This record gives sequence, C-alpha cells and structure tokens, in this order.
Amino acid sequence: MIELLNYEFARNALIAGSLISILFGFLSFFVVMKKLSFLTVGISHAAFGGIALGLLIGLSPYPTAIIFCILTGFLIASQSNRSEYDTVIGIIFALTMALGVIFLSLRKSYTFDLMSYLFGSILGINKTDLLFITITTILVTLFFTLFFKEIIFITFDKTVAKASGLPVDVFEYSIVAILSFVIVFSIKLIGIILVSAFLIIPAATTIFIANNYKKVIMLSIVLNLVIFYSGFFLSYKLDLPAGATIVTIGALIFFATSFINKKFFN
Amino acid sequence: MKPYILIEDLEVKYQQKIVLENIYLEVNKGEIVCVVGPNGGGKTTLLKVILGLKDYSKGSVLVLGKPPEYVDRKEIGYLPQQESSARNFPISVFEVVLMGRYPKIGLLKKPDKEDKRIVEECLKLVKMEHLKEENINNLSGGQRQRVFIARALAMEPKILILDEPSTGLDIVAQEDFYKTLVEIRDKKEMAILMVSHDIGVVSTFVDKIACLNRTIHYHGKSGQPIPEDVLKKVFGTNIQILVHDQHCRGCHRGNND
Repeated sequence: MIELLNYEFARNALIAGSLISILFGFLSFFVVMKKLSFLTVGISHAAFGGIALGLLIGLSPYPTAIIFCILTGFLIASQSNRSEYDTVIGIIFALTMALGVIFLSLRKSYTFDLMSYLFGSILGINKTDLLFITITTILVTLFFTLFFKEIIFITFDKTVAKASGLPVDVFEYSIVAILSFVIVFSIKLIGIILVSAFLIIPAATTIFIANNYKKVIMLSIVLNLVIFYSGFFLSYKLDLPAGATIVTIGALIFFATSFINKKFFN
Repeated sequence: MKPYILIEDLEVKYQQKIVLENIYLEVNKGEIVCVVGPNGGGKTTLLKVILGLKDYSKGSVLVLGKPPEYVDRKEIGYLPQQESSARNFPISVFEVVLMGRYPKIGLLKKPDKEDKRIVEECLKLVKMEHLKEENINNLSGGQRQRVFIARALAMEPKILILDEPSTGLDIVAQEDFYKTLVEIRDKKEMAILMVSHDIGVVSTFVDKIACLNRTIHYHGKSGQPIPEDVLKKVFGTNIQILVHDQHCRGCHRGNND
C-alpha cells in the first residue's frame, strides 16, 4: 500500500481527497440542517452542463461549471415556497444535464471521457486541481471562521435572525456560492452523480451520536476522512472505481449507524 | 413620555385587497398589550408592519418614535408564530439564548463574559437556569417557549413582540408563561405586545386588550368585560368564552405547586 505514495498522481489524490473530506465534513452539518440535500444534487448536476459548455468552446471546464452551478443554486435558493423549490430543482437539474448532452453532441471530436466526470477520476487530479482545492479550502475556512456564530444563528432560526437585523440573504447566497465552488472542484475526485452523497452522509450519520452541533461538525470531518481513506485504499486493493467505493462505504456506515441508533436508543 | 408603539389610521393591503383598516393602537413602556382576533383577522400582518417587514398604504406607524423601517432591529425582541427553529438542531439551551446576543455583539466578534452574564440572567428570569446545559430538543413545548423568550430578552430590547406565544401549550403551561411575562414586564419595564386567537387565559394577565378582525373593534383595559356585540363582530356568533380563574377545576394547579 505504501508504494502507492511513491507516485505523484496518488499523492495528489490523497492530498486533494483529504482537503475535500475535511471541507465536505464541515459543510455537511449546514447542508443537513438547512435541508439543502436536494439543492446540492441540483448544483452538482448543473456542473455537467457547465463542463460540457467549457469543452465545446475549448476552455477549461471549471469557470463555466462554476457559473452554471452558482446560477442554478441562486435560482433554486430564491424559491421561497417549498413546493416551488422542489419543482425548480427537478426541472433545472434535468435541463442542465440536457444542455450538457447537447453541448457534447455539438463537439466535432469526441475525446471526452464522460464517465470520469459523472463518477470521478481520482487519479486524474493534477497540480492545478490541487491548487484550486487548496485555495477553496483556505477561503471557506476563513469565511466560516469569521462568521461562524451568525451562520449558526441563521441555520438554527432564519426568521428570528432576520427579524433581529442579520443580513440573512447575504449569508444564504454566500453558502450557495461556496457549495457551488466546492462541488465543482470535487467532481474529479468523486464525480457529479456521487458528490452530493459525500456532502450529506457525514452529518446525517454523526447527528445520531452527538448531542451538540460542534461535536457533530468535528465528528463529520473525522468520519469523512475515514470514509475517504478506507474507500481510496480499498478501491486500490480491489481494483474498483474510487468514487463509487467511497460513497458505498459512506452509505453503509450511515445505514449501520441509523439501524444501531433505532435499535438501541429509541 | 412618548408611546413605544403608536399606530394611527393604519391601512394595509395585500395586492388590492384591504386586510387592515382604521387601526389605532398605542403601547406604552411597561405595558402588556394583547391583540386578540380570529385566524386570518390580520394579527400577524399587524405585527409585520410594526417589525418593518410589511409596507402599509395609509396612516402612521411609529415604533420608538420612528417609522418601522428606521428602527434599530436590536431594540425589538421577536418570537414568531410557529416555532421557526430547525428541527433536531443539536444545541444546548444556553447556546440558544446566547444567540440573542449575536446581533448586539456584531460581526467578527465573540461573546464575552458580560454576554454570558446577561444570558444567565435571562435564563433565571424565565426560570430555565437549571436546564441551561440541556439539549433544546429534550424540552417540552412550554420550556422551549421560555427559552425562546429568554433569547429575545438577551437582546435587551425595549419592545417584546410575541406572535401566538401560547400555541401548543396546555392551560397550566399557558398560565405559567403569562405569569413569567408579567414578571419580565415588572423587572425590565419593557413594552410587550402579543397577538392571540385565544381570549381566555390571556385576558387575566395583560394591561390592555384590542380585538382585531380587519379593524380594531375594542381597545380596553384588561379585567373589564368585552362587550358581547364586539365579540360577535370579531369572532362571529358561534363563540364561547372560558375565563380561567381560581374557580376552574381540573385545569388549574393545586396549592402545592
């Protein structure tokens, strides 16, 4: 197993995976508590349209993917009514996938590895990807360190936070923009289809065992690291796709925790 | 002294439909005022106007001497109609009340010893200091309501606005809750404005009652009987009022409590 670390691509994958696991573990609490799970599905699928557009016009897929994700996230977040919210996500995520397919069909040369974007290509992470992931991690950490108490208040009780004068909308749209960035930069690691699970599973699991939000956040980070490392090394050992192995391990841990919690604590 | 809330000839529309008209209301420092009326009678709309969350088409609204949009939001503690907090959010009672200090503390700063002292004091006022380490999800409806009042108090507001605060509380919990409000009014000398669709228990504890169904039909002191024709105008003909007092059996606490 150790010999794997002699390869640069493996080291890149491990560093990127560790940073994204920490980032997703941290954000997971806010996604689960604010019931943004379906929103993250919408955002991640929107990335497909953006990536395809970037490839069509011959640019790096990141800027167009981020624009697609942020626009989608803002459009969804602006729906105040819950039923409209679900409807818009359902339509938008199909639309952005459809646009992606159209953009790809318009390309003259078909050299695009669709599967690597849909399900991740962890060993394809290069130094540029690593740089983007590192910068994103630093900026997100800075944002949450500066405004942690306000974000906790808004997550706990948006109505009262707004009535007491906090700029709730600014914070909410900032969180959607942050989710868009982290989702786009993690697509190579885990893939468009699987990425939202990596954002939902940690806090959905740790909330069963921790009774305070600070503990939930800390445990979610640790759990995501455990899920990532075990999935990464198991996929190498068994020659399985890394993203799919990581998500499967995460989901199994979630169901086991849920089962044990219901059986022994309810 | 100027009234804390002064509303004159207020009219509010949703699109073209008038939902409130000819509203006159005055709330002074140290008063508990309750606006009662049926669901859909415009009570929450009236609160939204006072909070600066809804525009009005006619009249004058002054809160602490200013139009609502210019009032410092930190001067008003607010408890929404339905519990607006996230379900199953794992957080202690103390941390919830500390949130009430966040707008006062401001961005980029952390709570200090003084903030924590104020939180302790507010918890004491609502008789919840013994449960400060408890997870909020383990409390009863009445206890949670007290915690949310403490959070509103932690802002040290001049006005406390409560939208249907007794919803979901049994009659004993309601009475306890209103007694606590009276204590808060006495100790903090703040103005308390609440709305309720229930005119039973609440009428015993408040200083003034206003009956609202699109317009205010009666504006009087607590303890005086509300004229029957007013009740019919506000609630319709099918109404039975139960006044909760020491003669009530079964629903009332025993002497040992």
